Amino acid sequence: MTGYALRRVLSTVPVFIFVALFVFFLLRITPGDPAIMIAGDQATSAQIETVREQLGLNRPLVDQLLAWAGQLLRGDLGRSVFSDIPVSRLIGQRLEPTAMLALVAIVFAIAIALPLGTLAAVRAGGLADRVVMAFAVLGFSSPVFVIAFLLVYVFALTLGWFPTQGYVPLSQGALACLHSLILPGAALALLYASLLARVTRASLLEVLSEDYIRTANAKGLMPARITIRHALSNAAVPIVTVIGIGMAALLGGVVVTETVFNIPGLGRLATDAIQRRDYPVVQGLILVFSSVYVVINLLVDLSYVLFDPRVRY
Amino acid sequence: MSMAGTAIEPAAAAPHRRNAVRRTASFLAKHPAILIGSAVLLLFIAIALLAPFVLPDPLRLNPLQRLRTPSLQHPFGTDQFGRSTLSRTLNGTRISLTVGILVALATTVVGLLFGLLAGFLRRIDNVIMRLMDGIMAIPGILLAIALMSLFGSSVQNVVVAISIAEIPRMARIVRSSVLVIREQPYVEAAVTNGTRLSRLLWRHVLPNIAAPVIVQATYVFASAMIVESVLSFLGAGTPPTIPSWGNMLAEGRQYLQRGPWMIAFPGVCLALLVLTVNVLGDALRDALDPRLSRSGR
Amino acid sequence: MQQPVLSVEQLTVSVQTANGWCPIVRDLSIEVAAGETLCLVGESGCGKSLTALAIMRLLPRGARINGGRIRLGGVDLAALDEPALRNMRGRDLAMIFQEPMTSLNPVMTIGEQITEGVQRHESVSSTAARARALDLFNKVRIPDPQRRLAAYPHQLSGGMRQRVMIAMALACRPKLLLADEPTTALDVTIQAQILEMMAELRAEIGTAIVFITHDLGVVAEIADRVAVLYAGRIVEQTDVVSLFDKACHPYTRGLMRSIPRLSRQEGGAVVDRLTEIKGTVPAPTAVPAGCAFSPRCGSATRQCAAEPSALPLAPSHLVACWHPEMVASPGGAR
Repeated sequence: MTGYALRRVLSTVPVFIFVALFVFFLLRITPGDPAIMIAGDQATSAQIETVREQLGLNRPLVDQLLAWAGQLLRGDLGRSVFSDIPVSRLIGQRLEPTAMLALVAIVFAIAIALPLGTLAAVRAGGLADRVVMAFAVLGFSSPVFVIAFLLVYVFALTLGWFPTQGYVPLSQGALACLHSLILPGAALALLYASLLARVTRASLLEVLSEDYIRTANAKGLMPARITIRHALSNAAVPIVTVIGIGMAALLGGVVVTETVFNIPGLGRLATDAIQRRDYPVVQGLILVFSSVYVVINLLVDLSYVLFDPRVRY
Repeated sequence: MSMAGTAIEPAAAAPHRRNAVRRTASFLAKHPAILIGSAVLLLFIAIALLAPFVLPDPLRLNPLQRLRTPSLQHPFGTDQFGRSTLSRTLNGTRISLTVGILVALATTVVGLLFGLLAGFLRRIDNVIMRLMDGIMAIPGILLAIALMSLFGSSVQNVVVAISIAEIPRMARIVRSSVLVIREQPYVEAAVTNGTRLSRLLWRHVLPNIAAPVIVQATYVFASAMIVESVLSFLGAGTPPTIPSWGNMLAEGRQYLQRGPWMIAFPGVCLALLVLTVNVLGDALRDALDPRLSRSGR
Repeated sequence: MQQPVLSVEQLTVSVQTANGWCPIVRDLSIEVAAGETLCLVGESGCGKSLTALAIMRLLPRGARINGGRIRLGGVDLAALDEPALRNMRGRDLAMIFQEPMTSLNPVMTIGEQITEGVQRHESVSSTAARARALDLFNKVRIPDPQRRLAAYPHQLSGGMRQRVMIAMALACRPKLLLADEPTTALDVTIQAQILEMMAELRAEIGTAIVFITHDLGVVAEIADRVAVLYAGRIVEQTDVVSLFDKACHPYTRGLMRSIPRLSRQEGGAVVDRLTEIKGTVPAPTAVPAGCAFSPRCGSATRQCAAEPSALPLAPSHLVACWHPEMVASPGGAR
């Protein structure tokens, strides 16, 4: 078991290395001069030179690579070209809104998708199944911001139940914070929930046709016990896998949602940084987002032991 | 009848081709969802092709008619510059379909290449898959935005950026299928018989991976349209001079209360087109390989 | 005479095909008394498993009972609704299946899989249920039972898993046990052990058993009575001794003849080729009218175009044939 865990952890190392390299070369493979791109079209040559010095772009490539590696290992993500604040501090400042938003979305999504997906599988072919699946397809066909606009129009502008934008920090009260996150959380959750509902249904249907379910029925067990204890526990692995993989869609959606709802989180930081050509920030954000994604999937893989005893031995 | 069939003998090949038309027809008849989905998609394609000839110029400014609610004169209303939302929306179909189809094609070709290489050549399998894992580790939208900021705004760059994000998943699917097929007795038999690699691929491998690849390609098509609209919405996609749905949604944002039609029509059209393609993908998956999805129907 | 535990009358089970419902099992009637083992014999596809599933009322989607009556201990199973059936399953009637690996839940310990059955039907504490599980493990001769309670199915061998399945099925001492080819997937030595164990348990608990198999050797080992199935119909039904000594239906006799033997004399010459029954079993959608076996039968006449009804040749020996062969059959598996 520890062997499995160790191997899994080690296998993330090449991925981290790849992402770090990608981010490093991202700037340097551009057709133009990266320093000009960062400094902007209007910059004077003095300003361009400053940028070049700052980012070490005038040194040989190998030196730059080694310096970059050293920086990363020390946790130093550089400084923002725009504001000169260390990138890690910027990220730290904007972390809370994004984390809260993601949390709300994940909880919403799992709370809706799992029961509905189960219902659709258990009543496969019936009305409940078709309705749930129709919503699911609609949910993942509509871009997050279209849903967001719809929700804002109905619930914020027309009904006035929720704010159209903005974020209330936790320090001002958990309830107020959650209230400000309901609309953005719902918009984000819909996509994720649709994916989860689909995979829950598919996975459960597959399991329900297995022989051991027939045995459970032959023992006269109650349907609820069969669905939950016998079926879902076997369907868990693909479902949990998609919870991990779907995180990528969630993280991407965060960028859009924060833009629509003007939430001062990492997603907004990303769009602003990209528009301002603030590459150190962009690099830092890509590293952070990717790391989160990789770590979550690692946790998902490690959690398989909880669901499938065959993994342990 | 699934496409995961066995190798076809040469003798049977000729009548096989003659029956192909009849078989396609009966296939469509048995799967109405594919028929309807394809029909709606063709409708959108027709709109995309005809729009520039039939509708007024989407770029034409008409300040006297700004922000008109939908009416007979302007069925979808007008935007803040007086441009016809109907014309812009229907012209926007061209961008979405172009990007969608091109990305699906590019992803399929490159994904097939990587997947086949990884599946058949054990030595580079690891390298290719690590590369794919690395690309997948970066959330798609973020990756696409970052690439776009480097390449500059244009439709071609959008296609390239989105394709890069979608290729790893396709490569994985191809590779998994290849790994399964490699173990099949009929492949072993063909190899022992000394079958040439090209014939092996054409006759045995490709027909059997066609099903999951086609299904994934439709999903990529749908996903690409969404990503394009998100990129344009964030200002990192198609140039604002071109009427794409993402651009329209970005512009319409400030007018959500005064002119919701500016967002509603392109939004609904986008959702509808993506929905059609997704439903088509689901239907193809159900029809081509029932094992990919157990449906209770 | 005591009422039989299981009484099936004229059971017809149909399966949905592209052209509508097609009967697989036709007018099947059997009776099993308490403590008795009835073997249902036939080739693949003749409807044996469907019969068992129909009795349990666990037919898969696409199959349904199209006629007949099923009575367990006098209770008409067809008249019961699903909740009542759920109460009976596991408690009054139980079933074990062919493939023990896929029939056990891979993510639950075998201890839990047994105790949940016990606790479902009897209000006992979990300690009492565990004790019952241990007791059953001992009865089915699983070594080191205490430790095995916490084991998972993939940690056990095939024979061990089948023992677990038997323990699970007999946990609540059901009146009837349906066994669908439980030893087919096991190798011969394990097979013998399992059969011996089942016989002992049956003696102890007094369960009636319907044992489905295609192996005449197993029949010789374990059956009290045998029913031979062909194309969904019972063609011969009798006690096991009579079956091997005095089989009358041409199909049954054909089966006996095709048992491979090291040497055989027929008409004074040593026969060294395998005997077979010419032709193949008809597909369920293409069963010939009248006697289904007639196209392959050496003694077929025009009369065989009409469906033969089951004629009692002797008390408790039924044959469905117009021309039963009354000559002593060519020996059994002894």
